Amino acid sequence: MSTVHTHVDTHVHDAHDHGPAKGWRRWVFATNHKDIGTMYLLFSLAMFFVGGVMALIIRAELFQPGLQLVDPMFFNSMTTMHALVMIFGAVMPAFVGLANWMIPLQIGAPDMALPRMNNFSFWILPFAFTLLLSTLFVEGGAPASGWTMYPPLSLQTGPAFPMSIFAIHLMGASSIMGAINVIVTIMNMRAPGMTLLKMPLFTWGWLITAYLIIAVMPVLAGAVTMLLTDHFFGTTFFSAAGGGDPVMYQHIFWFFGHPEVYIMILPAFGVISEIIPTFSRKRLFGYDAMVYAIASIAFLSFIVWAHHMFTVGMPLAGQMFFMLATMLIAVPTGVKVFNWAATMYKGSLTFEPPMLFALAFVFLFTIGGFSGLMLAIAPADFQYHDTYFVVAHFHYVLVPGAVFAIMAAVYFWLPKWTGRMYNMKLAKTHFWLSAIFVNVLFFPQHFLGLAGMPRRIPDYSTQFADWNMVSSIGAFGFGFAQILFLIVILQSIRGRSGVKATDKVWDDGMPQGLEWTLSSPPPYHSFEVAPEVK
Amino acid sequence: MLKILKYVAAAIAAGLPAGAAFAAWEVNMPVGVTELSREIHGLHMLIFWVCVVIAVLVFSVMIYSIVKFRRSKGAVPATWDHSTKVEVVWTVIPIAILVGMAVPAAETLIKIEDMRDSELTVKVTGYQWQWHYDYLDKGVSFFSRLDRKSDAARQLRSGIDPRTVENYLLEVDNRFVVPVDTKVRVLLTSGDVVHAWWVPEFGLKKDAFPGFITELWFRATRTGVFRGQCAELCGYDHGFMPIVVEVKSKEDFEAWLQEQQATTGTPAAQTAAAPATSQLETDAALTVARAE
Amino acid sequence: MGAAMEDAERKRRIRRTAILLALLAIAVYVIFIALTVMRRT
Ligand SMILES: [Cu+2]
Repeated sequence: MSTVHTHVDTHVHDAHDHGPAKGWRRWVFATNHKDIGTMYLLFSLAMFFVGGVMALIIRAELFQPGLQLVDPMFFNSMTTMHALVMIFGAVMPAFVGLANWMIPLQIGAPDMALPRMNNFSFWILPFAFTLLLSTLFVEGGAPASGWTMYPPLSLQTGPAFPMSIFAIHLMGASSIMGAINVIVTIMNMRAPGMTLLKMPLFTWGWLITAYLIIAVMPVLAGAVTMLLTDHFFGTTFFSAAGGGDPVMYQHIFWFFGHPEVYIMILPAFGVISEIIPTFSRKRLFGYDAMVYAIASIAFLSFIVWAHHMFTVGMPLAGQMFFMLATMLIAVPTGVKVFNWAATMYKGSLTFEPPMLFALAFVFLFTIGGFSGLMLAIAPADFQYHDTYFVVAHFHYVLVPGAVFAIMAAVYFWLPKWTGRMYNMKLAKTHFWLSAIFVNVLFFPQHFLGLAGMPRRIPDYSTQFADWNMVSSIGAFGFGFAQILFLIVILQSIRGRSGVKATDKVWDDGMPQGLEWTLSSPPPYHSFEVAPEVK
Repeated sequence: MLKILKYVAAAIAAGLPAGAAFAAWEVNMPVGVTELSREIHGLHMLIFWVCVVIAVLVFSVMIYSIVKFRRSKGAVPATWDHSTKVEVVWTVIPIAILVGMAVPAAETLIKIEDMRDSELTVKVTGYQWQWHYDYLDKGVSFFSRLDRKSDAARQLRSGIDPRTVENYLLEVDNRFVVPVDTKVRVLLTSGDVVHAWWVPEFGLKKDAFPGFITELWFRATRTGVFRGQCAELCGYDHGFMPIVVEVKSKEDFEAWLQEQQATTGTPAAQTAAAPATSQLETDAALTVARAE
Repeated sequence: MGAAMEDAERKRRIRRTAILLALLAIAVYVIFIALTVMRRT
């Protein structure tokens, strides 16, 4: 990416310039990309803790064999709700929040292109999640058929069923609107000279992610709509009794579900590709290749869905195709990891909290990538499928993967947002506790799965007791470490910590995007006058 | 703290290709007792070592960079930012490795899907929450559900220590008995929701759908008792529908079969008790699965 | 003057892109349900 020269004069104000509204109106009627981004991020943080408590209930029950705390139905509700809350409530809104904050800053735009829709897409979320979480209190309990909601099991859900489906429709609508906004903004609001291949990788990752969202969220909506009509209106899309097929649901679901995985990781790739060059003080290795790698991963994500269902009894040719296509994803993913390593090579590294999280991301996401490659081997998948090996795999990709990338991004841009440096020592403690406990939590789950422990069971045979205990200890360690994250953020927001951040925030060495040319915090309207990018 | 250290030490001591299957601290997949399970285990170890080699290479470059190129050690950043040559190399080499992996994987896959020449066919039906085994054309069929001792211990706050129950959660009332060195074909279906039949020592799992038949085969090469569980979330008691297979010598199996045919007396009645899945009533599927 | 023209043009483009994308999303929804219906009959 080329170095950016800008001529920004933030003192130029036109007649329409105004600050934020006062009090609650600022948030309820928010149209400012920074305010909406902040709300998204705080909402996601709250959901991260809600989903985290659910995870801790799961791990507490699994601490030792026997049922001590919860009955199996509530356990199943916890695994289901944990997934829905973390995916749709924590990870996706966090990335939308980052997109809202950073995309206009990175492309030199005054705001997002569709500010009122932006407000709407955020404010849907609190309603969607109130609805979803309220199912915990209805008769029959919250949905307990897994976040995949496979019929016929999901059709056995009580009153929670239509509620959770409506909640999913709302979340889908919200993320589609968010995605439309991102695409429209990037396509129409770039500063003069900001060609596509000069865009920062975070913006690139989001552009491609937004297309994925628009392509697959409606597929999920369609799948759950058909579940709804099967349940209430006597259709038999997924019931053999009326000529339907439960496997068809799985195909449709995973046609959404696999790209969904990349929706949660491509923006993370973007974040990491911003942070590693910054703290290596060296330009990103192979910028073009990084963009093409993201694009090819996105393309491949549409033709690999059935690797989630090797055990449904597909024809041999189908299994072969999905095995080979899935293995191919390792190539562009490998390119990304190699390029990050090459960026660090012969750099000049420092290890501030964002860099620490980014480095942990590269190491641990790669481990998740390796177990993914193992899972792609169809014959071996007949053993791995639906065991804790799979649980370990996707948690490596999502926790030290997506979640660490979000934390890295927050630690990277927080001083830019609040105008103050945060408590570095506390942030580093947060990092080390998280990085250690996340491995204590998830690494033993590989062993459990290989040794034969199925996933989604509330109780297990005694030979699995030891590793489960280790994993649960890791879970509580990781969970409590996140309280430090909350403290660091709150301190920084309230201006209680540290010195004023400079415009460049880190050092003059490297940050080179447009966001670092603005003051910290940036003016309420980002670029009143479009900067010139050369 | 001491406890954690002890666990860490044990983890290291366990090493990777650990010995006896199902020992505590087990870390790896069982080699299993069928030809397919051994091939699958071989593939698993092959891809595992491939990953280890790549990991060592990539991680050592990263660790070297982290140690060597620190600003605190006065490292001056280089100015290059791409190299077409190395980028081509690390695109092409992984493709070659993948092709090398795909060939043996495809061969095993073809064997797994080869259902011909089976010597014994058993229809296995999953129900919430037990299995039903039907030896086709032999007139023997029975339900197989969680052993009562395990069932008592697994109740919420039962007060019974699971460690005092032999084969906790992995024992059934009626075992699935098969002969050794015989190609057994399992036809899977379900009476209600999706289940999955899985015995790790046999290397395979397959889903069971209501109204459809899926199939798998195995040929156990030694006698013994092998245990597994339902592997697809199937509701309240998903965690409590184990599978226990007893592999007997051919003579013992024949004797067992005859005994079953003699004692059950009315195998037809038993079969009738298991409703044909295609007749599954829609209403039944709507029942709320909250066990009382 | 020129800037105002450009602004109006940009607004038009933004609306058009947004509407196209929304239609795309709705089309995907309809197509997937239609495909499932067709597969059954
Ligand atoms: Cu089951």
